[in-house]
Amino acid sequence: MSLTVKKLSFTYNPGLPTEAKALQNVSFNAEKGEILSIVGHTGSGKSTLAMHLNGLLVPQSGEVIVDGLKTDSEPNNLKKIRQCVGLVFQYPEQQIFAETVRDEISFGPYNWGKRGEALEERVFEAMDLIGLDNSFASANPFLLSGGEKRRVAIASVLASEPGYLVLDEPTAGLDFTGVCELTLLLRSMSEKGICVIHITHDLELALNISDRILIISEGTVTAYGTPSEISEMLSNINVKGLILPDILSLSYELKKTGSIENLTSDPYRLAEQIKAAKMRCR
Amino acid sequence: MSLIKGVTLGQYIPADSFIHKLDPRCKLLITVLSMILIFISGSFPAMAMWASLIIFTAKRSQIPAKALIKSAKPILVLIIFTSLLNIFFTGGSNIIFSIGPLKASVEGTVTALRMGLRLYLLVLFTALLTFTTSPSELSDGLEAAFGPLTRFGFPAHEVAMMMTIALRFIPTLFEETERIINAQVSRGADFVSGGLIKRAKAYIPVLIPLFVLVFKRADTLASAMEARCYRGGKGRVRMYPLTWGSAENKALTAFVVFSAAVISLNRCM
Repeated sequence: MSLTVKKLSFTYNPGLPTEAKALQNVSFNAEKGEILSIVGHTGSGKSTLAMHLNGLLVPQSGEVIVDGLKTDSEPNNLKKIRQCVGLVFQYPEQQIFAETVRDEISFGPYNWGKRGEALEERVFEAMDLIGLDNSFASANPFLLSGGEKRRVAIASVLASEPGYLVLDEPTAGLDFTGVCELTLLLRSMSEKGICVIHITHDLELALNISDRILIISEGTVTAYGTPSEISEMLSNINVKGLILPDILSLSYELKKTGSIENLTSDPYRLAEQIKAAKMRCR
Repeated sequence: MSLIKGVTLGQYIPADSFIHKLDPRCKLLITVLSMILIFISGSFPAMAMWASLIIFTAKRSQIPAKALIKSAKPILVLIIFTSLLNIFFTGGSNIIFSIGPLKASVEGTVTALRMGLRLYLLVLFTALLTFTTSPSELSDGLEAAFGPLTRFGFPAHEVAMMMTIALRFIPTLFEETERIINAQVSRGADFVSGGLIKRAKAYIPVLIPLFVLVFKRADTLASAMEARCYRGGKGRVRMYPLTWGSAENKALTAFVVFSAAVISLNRCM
């Protein structure tokens, strides 16, 4: 059971003067229970890739396979795929339409055929997961704060119990506390066995929370691996539009001078290594 | 999403041509004149002349033939419908065939062809205007054209500004609609199955967020305009003032001579 993308290519407006290659030969695979971060600059093709994962866009060449089902135009397949791949768009709070938080969150499961008590159960489970207490159920979502609105929107996707959760820049516009809460949520999702695909331009965040990272630049995959492999790779290659985290640059310099052995983007591990090196010097 | 794909509005095609550079007032004037003239010179040779003028202008302004043909597509249904009405209801003695009480006559077919071609040429002519004139130039031109009416209390500047803003926001709103549709489809919304009422209801989750976004955008835009001291048209100067020079004179003269030729040809036939 996994989500596999094989040699996916996609071009906008093929044959017209406005033709734009968005994705070229992208391949990767995401397993249940892991956090995969897709990192790239603006216009690198991240969002186009996200729309392929639940069949909003159909591959022009190559394929996307979710739990053995291809995202071809077969409507029955598409329905199943959309139910099991939850897609949280950028600024998801803009999709809110209902009069109460309860109605908003029940939109997804209702569409997938849940009724009555089962529906109610899904709504409260999702609210619980995202940290909204029951008093929010009858609140008007349009009157909530920005952070709360975003949580309602994410809960409305979680309520469909997706096996794969794709989030497009979920931290955009959130304050520091909001980012921390969200990363904790992503962790707990993956611990529950959900595959979390987290799309971001923030390499530092990706290095700190992911199991694996895919770096995409101008529609092609430039690096793919675990955070430590990626840290290693980025010392050799220069990815357009990607800003290295300061802490990673620092650890490159320290490794070059021989002060530390392992590259890291975690400040605590870096500090430990520096301490150890200091002890050796004495 | 394919639901709203293929709608071309605000279809300016930038290029570096004599026609692109013409003053928008000149192009507006020529378009309005040509609309009147196409209607009064309805013979087939005259229409062939108009068609050749359109082809010539399109060539000179580097508008691809494909784009030109595509621009008239939405109106084609209307043209075909009126042509059918003309074929069956014009009357006449030379009946080609009849379906029940409907009789298709030779006279009707000729009238239908004439009306259809006329409408088609009109659409192509106005398409040329929007292809070669950017929306902002167009509204500048309209403001100048409505200028004399301000004396009677017509808010020319305000109307032009409203048009500019509306045109500017069409692509943005399309993009946003598409995104909201995608988001709701991802949550299992279904816009294609069910009866008419069910399908109309399915659009509520798209329309409400869209309205919310539009009001927010309008608010932001209004604040941004006020922050830059916008106070309407009084005493406002232009960054690119409209200039009527020798190029405009030449274009207008050429057009007048051409139309005179077409009209006289039309008379002789």
